[in-house]
Amino acid sequence: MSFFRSEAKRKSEFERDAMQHLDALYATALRLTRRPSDAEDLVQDSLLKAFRFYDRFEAGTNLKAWLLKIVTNTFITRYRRGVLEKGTLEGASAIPIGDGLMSREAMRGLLDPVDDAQRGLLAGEIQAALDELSDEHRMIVVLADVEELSYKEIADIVGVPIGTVMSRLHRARKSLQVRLIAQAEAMGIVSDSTYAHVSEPASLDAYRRARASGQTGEGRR
Amino acid sequence: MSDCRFVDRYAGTLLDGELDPASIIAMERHLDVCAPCQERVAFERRSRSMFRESMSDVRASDALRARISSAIAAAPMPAPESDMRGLTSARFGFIGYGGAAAVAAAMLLFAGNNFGGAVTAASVTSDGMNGGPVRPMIEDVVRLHSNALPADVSADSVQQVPAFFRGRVAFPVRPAMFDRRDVQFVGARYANVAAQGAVALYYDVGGQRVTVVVYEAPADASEGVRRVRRGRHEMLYHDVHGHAVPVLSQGDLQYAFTGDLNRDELLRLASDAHVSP
Repeated sequence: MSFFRSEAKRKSEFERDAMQHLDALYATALRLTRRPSDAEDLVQDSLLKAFRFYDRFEAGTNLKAWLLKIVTNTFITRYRRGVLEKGTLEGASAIPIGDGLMSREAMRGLLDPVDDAQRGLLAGEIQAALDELSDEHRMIVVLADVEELSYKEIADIVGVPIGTVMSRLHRARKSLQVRLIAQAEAMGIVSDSTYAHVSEPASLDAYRRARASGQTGEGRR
Repeated sequence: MSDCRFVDRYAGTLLDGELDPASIIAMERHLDVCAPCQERVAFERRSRSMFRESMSDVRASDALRARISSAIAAAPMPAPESDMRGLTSARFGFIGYGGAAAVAAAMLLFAGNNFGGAVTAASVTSDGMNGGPVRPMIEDVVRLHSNALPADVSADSVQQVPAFFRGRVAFPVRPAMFDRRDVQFVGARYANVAAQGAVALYYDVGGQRVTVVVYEAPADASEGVRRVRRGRHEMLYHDVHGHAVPVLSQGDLQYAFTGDLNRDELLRLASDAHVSP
């Protein structure tokens, strides 16, 4: 990128490139803020910020990912400020969900193709479930599943340890999946949404230790 | 944890490509023989694609489009490097720059008067990194500079730094200070160094960006360390991609320096550092 482009040319270039991603930026902003008016403000602020820093963008890399990161950072900066004012950064954020195994029948039922009307209903339910997550769970799912960032990138952006990213992501996805299955059951797509409850804690280290000492159950054949 | 439970807990991690190789092998071996777990992974994949699809119908309004266009048209042209705090993808010239002006990146342990500690490198090796835990930490330090994120605490509030990070990281954070007119504290933010909580401190040194990362010293901090003598100080450092990052020891903490300065400037800066009382 040249530093000597004219003002008008630079602006039109930025607009041409960045505005292609407006829908995606707005969709993410809406998921983060949950309110259309807040999402519009967030997208506008983010794009103006992106314009200011456009020289820092490496041509040839993923512009959409860069813009999405700016949207998320802008959201988090504001969100953090709000949270800090309230003084509850890590509060009662745990989602009350059993760490149980979902029923095989229910999961299998959702693997089959669904028609457009069903898809719309399920999509609406996913979005509703997402909106009900706490801010810190919601943004981690968005960063992982929409922006497809690595755990490390998410940990740095959100400002939490990687282990926290993993556990929040697991909880958040699980609660989305539970809601998805419940909705599918209500629609008659799946028949049995009860899921086995297992209270055994799931720790990667414990699993590795058990594995190393040959204590895991099934699957060692 | 049984293998089925393990799959249930880590199917998402597997699809994210974030599972360690040993666990991947264990999981794949189990998936080969367990149909319910195969369905569990397929469901994880399916629910994720449904989640993405559910976002794809959202459209920005024409009003928003118009509003942003006119806001950009009215926006002042940015002055180059007007804001040192950096944004997500801001690159500060690590890779591909080369030469004397390249960012210095190496890890130095040293005990200066200001830090008042003793040199802790008991077993200095001369052959550089050996694949232990230190190397990834230093690479993370370098990454935190080259891929800087915005500050949580900004320039006018250096005194707020300790309070801001209390409870957020496991150690008390005291910003590195410099008795030099050309060094200004710019901001700080939470960071991760080898999956441990850390704090990145941002400074402006005569118009150049410098990042100082504070983290708890690993058990064998002297792994792969190198030494250089600067005046009365002996500094220890690691070499990362031909650059140097000075690190000061203060109790159990390390302060690692990276920046858009050349090696000598960075060493001098590190030797001028002390922590606030």
